[in-house]
Amino acid sequence: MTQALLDVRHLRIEFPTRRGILTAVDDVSFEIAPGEVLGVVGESGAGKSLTGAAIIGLLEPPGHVAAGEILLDGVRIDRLSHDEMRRIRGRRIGAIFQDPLASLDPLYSIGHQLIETIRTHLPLSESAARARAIDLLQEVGIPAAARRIGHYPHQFSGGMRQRVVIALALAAQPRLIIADEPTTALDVSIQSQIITLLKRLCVDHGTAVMLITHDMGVIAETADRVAVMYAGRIVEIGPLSDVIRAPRHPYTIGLMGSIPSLVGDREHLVQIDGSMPRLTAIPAGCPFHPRCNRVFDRCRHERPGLIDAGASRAACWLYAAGDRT
Amino acid sequence: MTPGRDTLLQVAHARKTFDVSPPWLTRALGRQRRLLLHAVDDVSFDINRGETLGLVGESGCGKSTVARLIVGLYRLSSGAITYAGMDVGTLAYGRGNRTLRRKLQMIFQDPYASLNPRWRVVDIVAEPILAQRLLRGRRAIAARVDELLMQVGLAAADGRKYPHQFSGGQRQRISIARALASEAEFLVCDEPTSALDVSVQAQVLNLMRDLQRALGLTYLFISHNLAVVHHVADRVGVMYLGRIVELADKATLFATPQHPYTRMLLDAIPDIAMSGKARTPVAGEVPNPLAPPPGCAFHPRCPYANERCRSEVPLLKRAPAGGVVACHGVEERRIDIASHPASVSNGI
Amino acid sequence: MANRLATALHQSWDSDLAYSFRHSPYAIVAAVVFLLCVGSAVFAPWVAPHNPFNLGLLDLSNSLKPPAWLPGGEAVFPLGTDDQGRDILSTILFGARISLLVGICAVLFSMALGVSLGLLAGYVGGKTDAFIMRVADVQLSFPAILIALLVDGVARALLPGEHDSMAFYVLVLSIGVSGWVQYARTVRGSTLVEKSKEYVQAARLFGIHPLAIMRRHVLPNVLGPVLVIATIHIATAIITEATLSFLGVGVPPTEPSLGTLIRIGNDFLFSGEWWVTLFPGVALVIMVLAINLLGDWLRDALNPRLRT
Repeated sequence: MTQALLDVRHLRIEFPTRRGILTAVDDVSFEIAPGEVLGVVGESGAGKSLTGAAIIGLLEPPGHVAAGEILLDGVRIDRLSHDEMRRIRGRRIGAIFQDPLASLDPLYSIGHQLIETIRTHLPLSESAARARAIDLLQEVGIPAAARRIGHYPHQFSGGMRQRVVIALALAAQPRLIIADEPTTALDVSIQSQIITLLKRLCVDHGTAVMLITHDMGVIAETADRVAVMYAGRIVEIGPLSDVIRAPRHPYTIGLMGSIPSLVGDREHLVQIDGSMPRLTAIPAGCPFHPRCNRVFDRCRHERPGLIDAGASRAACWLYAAGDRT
Repeated sequence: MTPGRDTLLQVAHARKTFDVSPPWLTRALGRQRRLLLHAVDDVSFDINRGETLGLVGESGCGKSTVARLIVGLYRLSSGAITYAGMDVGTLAYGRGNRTLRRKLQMIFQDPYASLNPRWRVVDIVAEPILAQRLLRGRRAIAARVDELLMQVGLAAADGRKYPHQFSGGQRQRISIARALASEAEFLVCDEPTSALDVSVQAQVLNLMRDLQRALGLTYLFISHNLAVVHHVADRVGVMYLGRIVELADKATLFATPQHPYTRMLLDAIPDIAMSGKARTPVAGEVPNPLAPPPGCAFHPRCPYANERCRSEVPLLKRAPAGGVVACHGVEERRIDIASHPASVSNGI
Repeated sequence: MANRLATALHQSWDSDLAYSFRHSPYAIVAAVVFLLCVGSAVFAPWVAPHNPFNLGLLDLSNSLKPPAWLPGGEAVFPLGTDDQGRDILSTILFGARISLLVGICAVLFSMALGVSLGLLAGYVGGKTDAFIMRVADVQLSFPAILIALLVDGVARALLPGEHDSMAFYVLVLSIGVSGWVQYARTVRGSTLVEKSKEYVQAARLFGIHPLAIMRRHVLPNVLGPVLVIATIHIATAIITEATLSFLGVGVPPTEPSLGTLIRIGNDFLFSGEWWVTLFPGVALVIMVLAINLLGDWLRDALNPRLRT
């Protein structure tokens, strides 16, 4: 079995506040194999963006990694210094964020930003880097790349800008890309273009992707495996078709049922009553138990870890051997 | 379109143009022309009492402008909008007709900006009651606010709290309670669930459906999310660059989309059902609304465009499969409108 | 009732603002100093060892006595006396009173004028906005002191002879008029932001009058930065008043403020009686510094981005 490209073990992210320590991400473990697309899906506050930020070393203080390990190609990266992390960022892990306007510096041409990124990580001359930049722009589908390389971000539309951001992320040939809501700010028709592009590029370059989003539809189109997060923990993880067609965890079941679809005509959508608990008030035992329609006594006291349930794993006592009282 | 007995809202050839020209000095010095944005360009439709009309389109299509024209936040440049026979035009920037103000209300997209952060919830919900003088006396008003809060699934005690103590979904419920406080019967909902998580969206959509049944409300539901519109609407209109390109009842639109843009939109929806349908790459982007293409605005992206499409703006005409469509190709029967592959694979 | 007050106090104590205050040493020191200044100024008649304005009590033989720790000084005049035999410490306390009063009143006036105009400009927009902002721009091209001098001069011309009794009001007016622009600009900016928010649009949908919307909806949400400006403006206003009094166009010398005292003492600076001007000067600096530090703390505490 090939070694995992990214190995996150028991990650714990804490925020010290004056009201006490908030645990935003609690005991999260997963792996990403080389070239694989892992979709991390969850609602706002579930901790998925924080996990991505921690992996790439961009956690905003006072948030910090309080426990656990993050390994890239078997080497720990969560305890590196700023400089060491800077070298990894871009060269081995690339990032795509939600808002292309914020990811591109408005004062510099996209060519300048591309070339700067390329030359920071790769030993190329100015002209070689420029040629590579034009290649990248063509690859992401920017028409007339040689001419537009000198243009500024504001001269591109939203969809084009996100393509430039993807080009930037791929510039130094990273093996892993963390994409945090890459299509959320885009129109529906552009979303589908970007999704197709991302998929194709990752296949072509053999890049693994950690795709963070709240949009199940995007996951369904791109991911190989899916991790569902709730209140800072992973509640289900498994192959795409399993999680979507046969979800195990009651939260995932509720989530899939609450998505309106183009098929059929339901009077009511499946509704999970209540809302995700605030970080200051996470229930004891299983964090989902107050909203679960299959709760029993054990759920209220003991917190479940990920338990094998067919092809996927779910953090739910329903799948543990033993009685269900 | 002659109004039926049940027609509540009538929009007739509505037009809204914004002047976004640079200041006159800049124009004079740079010899630039005036810049006009035709946000809404000849839009007409009716809504019957008790039904939900969904309006879909991408950014810049004008659906939000239509919403604001209907409730009177913008003034029409030309055309007419009538509600139960009363002209809505009087609403903009003025006191307008009291009844209209009460009955036409809006639910906004951003749950964080639609409630005044410095006001308590009870004051927010009571505001329309006080403004319209619907009830007298503190106790009567307080009781009514409690009743409304419970009707939207909150607790009466929530009235004492401030908006920041609530989640996005709960804030939308408060907005709905506020609209109901005004005894509204027609709600214009401008992307009411777009900013909400999926499970919260389900709660709010279910609530809106229940309220519609219980109170006989009529909705204009605006969204960019076709799946949501499929769930809530009875009829659906598709907008592109300020015009309606297709308007049909839900079953027809989703089973046999006729306008090429509608077909493209349906094609672009991420496929949860994963029937492995081949995704035809969508071409191009929405053009700059300040410089729309001549003729049919969609022609640069349309695989069926011909000379007529490039020069003549198509009008909404009755379409063979049902509803109305603004497309020369459909009118000339050039497009094969047999079931769209998207709808077949979606199991319809 | 007492219960609700106790709860409110407890909540304020526990609030983010109070927490930030309790953990900021310079804010606490500044607040203590400021409260001392205010307290001694308010209670001057009782705290001051002498009443410097009772002309009957003055004895010219006491004039120009040095501070108590220098040879020739007396304990009864701890900081020395001026040329009229007035105790410097007492005149500082009474003078601070005037300075503070003028400062606070001028700021209140500026705030009322500036916030109203800013709200109007931001909410109504169009020509009203353009007009108000152009007036503001024109005024900004003059130094505030000049504006104050101008208003003061006009007032003098209009009220000959009565100037001394009206001096306080004229001073408040002139300093107030010179300072409204910064409030107006800030409030206008915030108003423009709030105006586009949906809760304002919702209020319009209920048919609420624009003035009511401005007052009840927009105003509470734009006051935050105004508070910070006002705190720092008090310091500026006090200095402006001191400058005007120093120039001789402020409060009359019979009821001197700190600025007047500094001017009076200036004449004696080079003849060796330095205490007449130095101590009022130091008092002014301490008071203004305390206010500035408080204003700094308030601005940082209210800035959501800096919160941990």
